[in-house]
Amino acid sequence: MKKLIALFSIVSFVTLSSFKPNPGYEVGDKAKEFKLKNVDGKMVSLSDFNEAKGFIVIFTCNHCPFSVAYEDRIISLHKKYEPKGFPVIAINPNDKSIEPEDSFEGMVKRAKEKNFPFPYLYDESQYYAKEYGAARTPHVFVLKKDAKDLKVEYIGAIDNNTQDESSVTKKYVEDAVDEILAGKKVTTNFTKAIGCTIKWKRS
Amino acid sequence: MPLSRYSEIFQNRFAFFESMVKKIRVLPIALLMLSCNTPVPKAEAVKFAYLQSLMNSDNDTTYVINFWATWCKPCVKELPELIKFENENKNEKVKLILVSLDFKRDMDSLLNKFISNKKISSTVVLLDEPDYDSWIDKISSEWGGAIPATLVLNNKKNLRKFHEGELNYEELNQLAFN
Repeated sequence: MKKLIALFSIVSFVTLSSFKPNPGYEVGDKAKEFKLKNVDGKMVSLSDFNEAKGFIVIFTCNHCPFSVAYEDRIISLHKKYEPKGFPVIAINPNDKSIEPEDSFEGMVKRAKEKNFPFPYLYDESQYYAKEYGAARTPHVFVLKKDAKDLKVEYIGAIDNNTQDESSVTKKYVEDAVDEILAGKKVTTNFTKAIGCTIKWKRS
Repeated sequence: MPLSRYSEIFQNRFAFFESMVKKIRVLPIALLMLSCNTPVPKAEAVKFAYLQSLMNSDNDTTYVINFWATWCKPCVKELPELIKFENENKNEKVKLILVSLDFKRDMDSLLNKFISNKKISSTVVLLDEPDYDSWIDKISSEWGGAIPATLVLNNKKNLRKFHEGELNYEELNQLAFN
């Protein structure tokens, strides 16, 4: 009887703990590799980028005014840091039935309109948005290659002024990547910003 | 009575009637002008100190502080529920504060236009604090930054609850009174 109770406890503990919702990554965690469809129809994975030292992963979308306000700055980030080994990888995690503008077709259209120089990938199953812990759009995860791993070095906002680029006083992502490139520890490794909710699929 | 006398009386009364009609004609115009002078609800731009003072207040009002924006569909969708909650709980001293995160440059073109069209009489403020990271955690450390989000507080009753995401009437009722 005691053995049965012990076995039951172990089994229930293991199964119940596996049902705990994933809160997403924290700085220092190892990030999962992904393979997602790009706006040009091709599949893109982080392992395609042999020369890269890391990645500026940005969960973003087409409809959200906060994302739109950052589009030019995201383009600038890619143009500045891709040559230094840190390309931008944009990911749209939204469910198109909740927000039709965030469909794959909408992504293709926007990428063309703005001439996005970076991959703009579709996380259709929303698996990676959940895995990473995307909380809003836009939401940045700076990853650094560490042997075979991808380490999360920064999570948060792009800078400290969505509305007015000329009033920005803290460029969080730039500072983080500059520090990584200089071999230093990232000083400000976590920030928050106001953004749009992720449009999670309704079960 | 001679006919001329009747005619005189008629003319006098007609003149009186005519002058009254002239005065009455002015009335609708006067009413229209009065309604134009009635203040149209408008949002006030505030700094975080405004919210901080609400969060520090020691009166027994239950504040429902809702973070929203005119372009945020789920935010706009839940507004009628929040307003209904405030209206039905006036006796319980419930006050709704709609804190808009619209961009300051859109204050008139988006926010005030929205308030006017929807005839919103609840308190609406535009939070003019673009450095979001400096205040989000002061509302709640659980807040990831997405809107809509609602803080329900009543310091006298030691009530402070935060909810990220949409709220309906029943959920808000639970937060405020349970």
